[in-house]
This record gives sequence, C-alpha cells and structure tokens, in this order.
Amino acid sequence: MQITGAEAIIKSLIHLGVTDIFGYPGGTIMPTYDAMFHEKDLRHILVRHEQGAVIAAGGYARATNRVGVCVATSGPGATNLVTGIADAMLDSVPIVCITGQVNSSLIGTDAFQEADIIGMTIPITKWNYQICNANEIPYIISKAFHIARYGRPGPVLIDITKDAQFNKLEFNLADINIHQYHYPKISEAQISQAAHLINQAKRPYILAGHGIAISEAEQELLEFANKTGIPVACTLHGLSTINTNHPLYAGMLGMHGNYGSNLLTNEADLIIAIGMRFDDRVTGNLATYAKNAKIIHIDIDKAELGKNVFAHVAIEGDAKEVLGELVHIVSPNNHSEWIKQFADLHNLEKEQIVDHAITPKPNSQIKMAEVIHMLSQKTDDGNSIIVSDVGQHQMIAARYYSFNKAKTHITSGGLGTMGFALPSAIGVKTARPTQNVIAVVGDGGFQMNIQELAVLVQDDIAVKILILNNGYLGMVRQWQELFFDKRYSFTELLNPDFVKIAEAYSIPGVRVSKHEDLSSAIDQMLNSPTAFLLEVDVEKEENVFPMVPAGCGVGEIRLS
Amino acid sequence: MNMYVISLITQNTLCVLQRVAGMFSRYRVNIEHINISKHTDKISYWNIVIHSEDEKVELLQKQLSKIIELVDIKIIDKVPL
Repeated sequence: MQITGAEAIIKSLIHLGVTDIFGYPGGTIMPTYDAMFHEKDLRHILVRHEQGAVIAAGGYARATNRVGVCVATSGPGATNLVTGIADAMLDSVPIVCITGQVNSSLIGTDAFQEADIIGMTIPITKWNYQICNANEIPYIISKAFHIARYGRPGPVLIDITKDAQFNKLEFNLADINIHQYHYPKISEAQISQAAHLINQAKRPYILAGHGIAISEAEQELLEFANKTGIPVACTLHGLSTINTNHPLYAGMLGMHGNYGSNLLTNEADLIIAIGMRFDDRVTGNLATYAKNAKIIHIDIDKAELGKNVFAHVAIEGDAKEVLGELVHIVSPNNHSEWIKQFADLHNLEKEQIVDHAITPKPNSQIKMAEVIHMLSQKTDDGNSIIVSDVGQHQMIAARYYSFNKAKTHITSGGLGTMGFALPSAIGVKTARPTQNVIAVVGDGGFQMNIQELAVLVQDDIAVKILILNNGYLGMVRQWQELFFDKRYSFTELLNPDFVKIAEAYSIPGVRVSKHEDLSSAIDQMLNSPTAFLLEVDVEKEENVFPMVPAGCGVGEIRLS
Repeated sequence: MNMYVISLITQNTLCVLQRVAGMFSRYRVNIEHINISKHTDKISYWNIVIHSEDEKVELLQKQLSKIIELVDIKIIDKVPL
C-alpha cells in the first residue's frame, strides 16, 4: 500500500499503541498534522508552547511507564523541546519526540526555521536520528520506541524532513517491529553474595529509587522488606514505591529529606541501593558518606554501578527480577533495635519540625506544610497523584504528603525544571483520567508555563492546581538567607492575580489566606468536576528543614 | 596520569563521531590522537589516545558503551606518563 511518509508516521504510532500525543504545529511538520486531521484513534492535545508538549509527554510516561510522544516543528519548535528532553534524560523517562525538519535539499543552507536539532540533542537523548527518506519511517519509529523504553528508559528524538513526510512509501505493518525487552542475565554469584551480606548484616538499610517504579517492583520491594525486616528509605523519585505509613518506611533521603533517614545512613553496616544513582542531593559530601557500610548496588544501567559510590556487590539488572530472586534466598529477620533508632529520630523530627509546621497558629500566616498535610488527609484514598514543580513547595509536598499507592508522586528531580508541574500534570491526567491529578506549584514555577492553562479548557483536562504563593523564589531565597547573609538578590516576585488569570481562561479559582478558609477551599478544589485553581498565600520567609547544607555530609543534617 | 589507547568498533553512520567525541569532551578529556577507518560500508574501526586516570576511563568506557551505534569497546593499552 502506497502512502505518504506523514501517513506512515501516524500509522506507525497507532500500531505501536500510541493513543495520545502532545504537540504544536508549524511549517515543516504540517504534512504530519494533515495526516492526523481525520485520525480518530489518536488524540492530539494542543499545547501552547513546545516545552509544554515535551513535559506533558514526560508526565504521561511517568504515570504509566508507556512511551510519551510529542510533536513539534523545526527550528524554534524543536529547540523549545530541549529543556524537556534534558529533563527526561536525567529522570530516565521514555519519550519519543518527533520534529519536522526543512526539506533535505535545504539542510545546511540556514533555511527558514532550520536548526541542527540532532547536533543539539545528542548529549541529552538516548538516541536521535534524522530521516530524509520516507522508506525509513516505520522502522525508525519502531526502533525509537524500543530504545526509549528498553533498559534504563530515556528520550529519543526523530527529526523528519518535510520531503520525507510528503514522499510516498510502500507501507507494510510488518516493517514495524514490536520489540520484546530482554534484560541482562542476572549474575547468580552476585545474588548469592548479596544474600549472604544481607543475612549477616546488623544494621542493613534499603535505599529505594526511581528504578523500583520504572520496573514496577513495588510488590517485590514490599515482600523483600517484610521478609528481611530492613528499613526502607526512598529517594525523591522513590517516593510512593512503598506506603509512607508502612512500619519499615524510614523516610525520604536527600538534602531536604527526613532527619533519621539521612543521619542513620552513616550508621548502617549494609546499604542495599535499588534503582537509585547516589545523586549528590542524596549523598551530600561523598567523602563522609556511608563509610561504615558495605554497598549492594542494583541498577539496570551498568554505568551507574560504582559511579559515585563504590559497590561491594554490583548487580546489573532489572529491580523487579533481582528482588524477585533475592527474596527467595534471604533469611527472615527483624532488626527491632535498628528500627527503633529510626523511630526515635522520627519522633525528634516530629517534635522539633513537623508538629510546628502542620499545626496552625493563631494570627499567623498559613504554612506550606499545613496545606500539604491537609490535602494529604483529604485525599488519603490513594486516588490522587501529586505532580510537583521545583523548589520549596516540591520538598514540602514530598515531605508532608502521605503516599500510599504506587506512582502517585511525580516531579522533576534530576534536572529540577521549574515550570514542570502544570504541563506534566496535563500528561498525567491524560494518561490517568479517573484519578485526581493535583499540580502543586510555587508562584515562580507556575509562571514559567502558565500558558498551558488554556489546554485544560480546550481539551477538557481537569487538573487541579494548588499554588503555594510566598511571593519569592523560595528555595533560592532560603539559601540567600542561610548562606548569603539575607541578600535577597532578585528573588522577590510581584505576582499577578492568579485567580483572575484562571478566570480569564474560564477556570474556576479561589484564593485563601486564612487558616479557617483552607479546608473548605481544598474541598472545593477536590470536588470540582473541571480544572480548578487554588491559590494559598503562605508565610513569606518559611524555610524547609531538615537540611543538609551543600558540601556537607548527611551526618551534618540540620534541624534548624 | 596514564596514556590509554582505546579501540572502538562502531556502525558507520552520520553523527557517530559527534556522539563519541562529545562523550570525551563532557568528561573534560582531550583526545590526543584519533584514527577512524571504514572497515565495511556498515562498520568503522577506531583508535583513540587519551591521557587520563583509571577511574575516569572506566566511567568513559561505560558511558561510551551506551551509544546505540557502538558495537565494541576495548582499552588496548595503558602506559604511565
């Protein structure tokens, strides 16, 4: 069957199981947009900026582990994707970006809207490829999906010239290979060595990372932890891989993680790191990190094993498979004394920080933690997904929300992309329409992709937006307060009236500044059948504690 | 500091040089010498000489292995400087 390259793109995507794509049309991608005009099996969501499209595709992928797809035109359309691609690269998110390119005869002539997007995205993609020949389209798109999802997931960009979209090819569905995933064979010797260390350890400690969520190993993690009685701490992306109310849950790791979970890292005699990469935000100063522990490091990406922290046992493999094997050969155990150390420090943190942060005080402004804590209590059925932006509110959401179901916490961890939450939440809600998707944002980050409010209305996507407005770029301000003698250099924001902006988009909204109005406003947001914006005026100069100051070790974590 | 000779086999396609060279520059390792020759239409043989340390070279080797077009990589020589 002879069809155009553009039709082949759409047919290939549908054959690969794509149902939703995010994009923005433009000159060189017009043939592809024309081919999707009558296509009923593909829902296209029109964003307002290409960065919104790529981050939404990432949100879709994060919520489902399916490949997210976005489409943009050449030149500025393609370059606007760059931040979202880098975000997906650092957070191991499987997305395929399809960009238009100028006619192949014009490449290299500085043609209108020509940009070397392949050259630009080599360092931030798992793979990229330029198609000038329509015949390549079905195979290359299928290869792109395979690479995006296989092993450690990541972004792939396919750049397709306009003539390749117009030209005809003989289209055969058999050209689209739906690849099977084969993970590396797990070394039995290392599994038994790991089991030996686990059985011998007195103070073992599990660090659960994003890899657990990616390989959908939540159940295996739970069985492994229950059987061995080992406390489990989560990285930021590991949050929601284990119920935060589980007795073995030890807290969040990292610069603004929990007190005990950070401090006791240096007391552990064995660390079992699963699907995490010992990021600098987790380890602090490596010279003093976990010096009393042997390290078992499990990761699908061989390049991560031993990269930052030496691994005594390095297991290259999929978390689900490795844990599935390990659980059978480890001995049942409990570590009650060790667990008590976590409980004691948890209580200390609760007394010194948490209780103050979540309890309203008369004649004071609302605190961020109070809002998140209340939201958490009102959405404890596990049917809500929290999508946070980047900054203080992100850390507060991670710290004070109780995650009790898998894949209910989505954020930009590695790249720390401000402006992430709204477009990502659009992707998440598209993938998970029956769940309550709440974008928790700061007043700074929200304005970085505020234009995507239009999408909520045009495509009827009922994302709830919770703005924690402190009138500052709060995290930077906190650092300025603590480390730059309160020189608040360009971090104070004069903000617009966000509720009025929402109203201009026909999105209902409420602004709250008093404790007594908070509960009903959150109810109103949660009960809204459509998108809703809730702006909460919070204490302007609140700091997020505990904190491991930059350059310090996790043992130097500060409570104030 | 050592001198390393790294041998690569890659697919012979556009951008492979950029992908490989970019990896070295990302880790701030200068390429002292490079030789690439087409073996068949599909395969190229490479020899790269760098000055670096074991730890960094091991990391580079693992990162280079992730390039989709890379077929094989070996450190074939190491000479103390």
